[in-house]
Amino acid sequence: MLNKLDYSYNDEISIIHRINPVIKLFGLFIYVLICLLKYNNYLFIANLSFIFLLMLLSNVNILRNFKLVWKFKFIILIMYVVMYHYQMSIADINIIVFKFIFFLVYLSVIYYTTTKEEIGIGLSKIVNIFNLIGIDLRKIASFFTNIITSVICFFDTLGDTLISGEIKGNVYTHSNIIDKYKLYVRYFKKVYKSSKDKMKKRKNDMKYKLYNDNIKKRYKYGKKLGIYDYLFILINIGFIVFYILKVR
Amino acid sequence: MYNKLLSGVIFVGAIKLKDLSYSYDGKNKVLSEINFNLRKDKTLSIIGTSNSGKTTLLKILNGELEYQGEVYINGILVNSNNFGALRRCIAVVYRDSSFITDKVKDELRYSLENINLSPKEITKRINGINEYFNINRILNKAIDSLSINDKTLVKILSYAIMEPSYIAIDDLLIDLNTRTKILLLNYLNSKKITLINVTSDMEDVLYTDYVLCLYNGIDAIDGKSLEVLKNEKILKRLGLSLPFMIDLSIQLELYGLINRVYLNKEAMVKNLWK
Amino acid sequence: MEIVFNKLSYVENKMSSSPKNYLDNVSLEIKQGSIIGFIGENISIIGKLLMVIKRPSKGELKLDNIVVKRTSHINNINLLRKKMAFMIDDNFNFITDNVKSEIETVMKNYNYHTKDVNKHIVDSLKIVGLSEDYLDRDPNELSYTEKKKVNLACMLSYNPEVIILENFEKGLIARERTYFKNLFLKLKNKFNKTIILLTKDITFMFGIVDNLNVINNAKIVISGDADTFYENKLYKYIEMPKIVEFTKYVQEQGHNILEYVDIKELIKEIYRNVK
Repeated sequence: MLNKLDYSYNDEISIIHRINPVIKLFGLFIYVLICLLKYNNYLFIANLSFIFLLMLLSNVNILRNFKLVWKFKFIILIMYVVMYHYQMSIADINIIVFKFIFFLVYLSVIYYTTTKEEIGIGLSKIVNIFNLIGIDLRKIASFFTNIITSVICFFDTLGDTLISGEIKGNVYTHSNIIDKYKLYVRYFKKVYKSSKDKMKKRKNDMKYKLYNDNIKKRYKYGKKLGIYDYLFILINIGFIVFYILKVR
Repeated sequence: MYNKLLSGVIFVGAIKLKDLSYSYDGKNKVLSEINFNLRKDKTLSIIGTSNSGKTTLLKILNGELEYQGEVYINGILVNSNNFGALRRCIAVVYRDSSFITDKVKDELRYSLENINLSPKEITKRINGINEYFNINRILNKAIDSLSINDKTLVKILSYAIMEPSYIAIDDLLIDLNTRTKILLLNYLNSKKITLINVTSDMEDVLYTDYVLCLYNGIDAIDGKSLEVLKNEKILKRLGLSLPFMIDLSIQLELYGLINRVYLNKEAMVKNLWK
Repeated sequence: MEIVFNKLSYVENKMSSSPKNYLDNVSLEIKQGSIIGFIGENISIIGKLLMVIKRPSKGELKLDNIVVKRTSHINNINLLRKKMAFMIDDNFNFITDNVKSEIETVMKNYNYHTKDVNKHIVDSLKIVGLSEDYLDRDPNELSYTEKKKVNLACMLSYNPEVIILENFEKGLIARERTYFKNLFLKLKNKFNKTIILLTKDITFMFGIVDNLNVINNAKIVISGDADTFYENKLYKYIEMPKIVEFTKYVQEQGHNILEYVDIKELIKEIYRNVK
């Protein structure tokens, strides 16, 4: 069943936890960029090793990071089937699939080591860098945090409803995959409404804790950048430099 | 039918309920004609049967519902126009109040950062909390990983840290162990935050100065805690119990073994076995 | 139903730096027709294991003649589950939109047949102290104690042999507590049901439990009958109720009074002793 620790912030203590969320998201962005550009053996292996290193340093169990990948197993299977159908070589397909798998791992490392609020702030700062929207930082940050929290709230409610329903006789743990999906469909409307109500309540509770869209925040978010932040940026810039010099 | 005690003197209350009524469908009255004044700096317990309107009363104090009558907190009329001003006067904590953030530290700081309080002041308030509760040990923990005692404490403190004049709690003290509960009451007292405690645990009524007992939306009895609690017949008729020492005292009085209510077991035992 | 825990262990989150040990090598027996109390952290795991929502990590659980291990296969799990009923505190996600259909769904899932379904539903509500007016109300809109009562009505509607409740008495006033204590006693004495109470508030157990178990650090540290209420070792793990505190103080002062959990009995005893 859905284990709450698999999709919530893990409060371990590690280097990765301490790195600024903007920088972590920046690293993810660089990784995606390199994945889409021209392939190079050394860069590929360097990238994957870097992600593996992040995983080890985050003090979150390795298998937990792969749980997200496991949830995408069908999509990965379909990727193999479709690409094979288009007569791509197995080696090429493997590379693409590995890029995807490690994208998911990178995503989960970031997810487990960053609180939802920090992710929201990080995303809003990135959006602001490109000056895409001229609105207050707080509003965008709230917006992003809200989306992530809504998704989490939905799965939380779904998990609780599955347990509560199981106790009342709607079998979940002992049924096959088809019956499980039938239950998801059956509960969907109710869980959606229930989680929507909870998010509405959360929005109200924010107001009772003095949240106001119009307040301009006086102080900077986040701590000063430390040595690991700079190292992180350096490594990622290193990847880009390597690409420009050696691969093009 | 119901014996309604008013405290001897009519005074200007810091919380004033005048002819307060509420109905959600226009027919069934959840609250009927409540008239009650709570003096400044006097704590209040709210007790009553499960459908008596306790939570509704808290929602009204919080400005969530449109009601008939008048409700003033610190002289400010409770209505949607005064939302901002009322936030400094009262905070209401429900069982299903949400946590906004993931970490304990973030949750405590959330409301203070929203009003742009200086980092110095924020740190000062958190240190103030730490003196009472040793909160440093859980500051960096994820809220979901806490025990029920700690989680409830953080929930309450995330509102108390705003230092409103009043904090109303909807039957959450039952989730705290006694030691934490006493620390919380001391903390609120030291910060001059007046407690309004809706409770199902009658022992907790002894911690507040006044008590208001609701029954079917009516003020069945109210007044100073100790005096109200001595009204054994009314409280038992409403289905409520008495705190242990008061129950014991009253019944031993009937047997003629003692002649007054003792809250302190040492004093009672001394007087029983003279 | 005879319930046996046989060297049962349950661990969660093995895949984290701090795995949570809920039960460690626990063995105990629960006979049909008794009221048992359990005290401990995360004690709801007992209910989840009994309802086979979670499987033991090690060891086994015997429910009558069915053995439940980590990997045992159980055909038609609801045949087993309909003998039991469980309520978790603070998880009140109802599966329908009104009280009537909630109870109907539970009865249908557990194959409980009766001639007059509507009457049975109303009776189930009456037993828990709710009137017919609750039939078409949305259970999600009810208060905390009302939700608990609706859940209990669902549980009783399919007539289980074993009833497991977590923190049921929390939020109830004195009259309701007395009512439900008497109800549970009646279910045990007249209908031979097993009631398992999972709670830290032992005052609710006064006068009704046959057996009391305290689980600390995943092991059973105390297991005894109602005499345990006056044993000091119990209060290393939970808070001492006022009546016990008072009686012990009186005894310490040299007055020899008997130990009671009912205040009326205590008063008669004090009278006898003082005169």
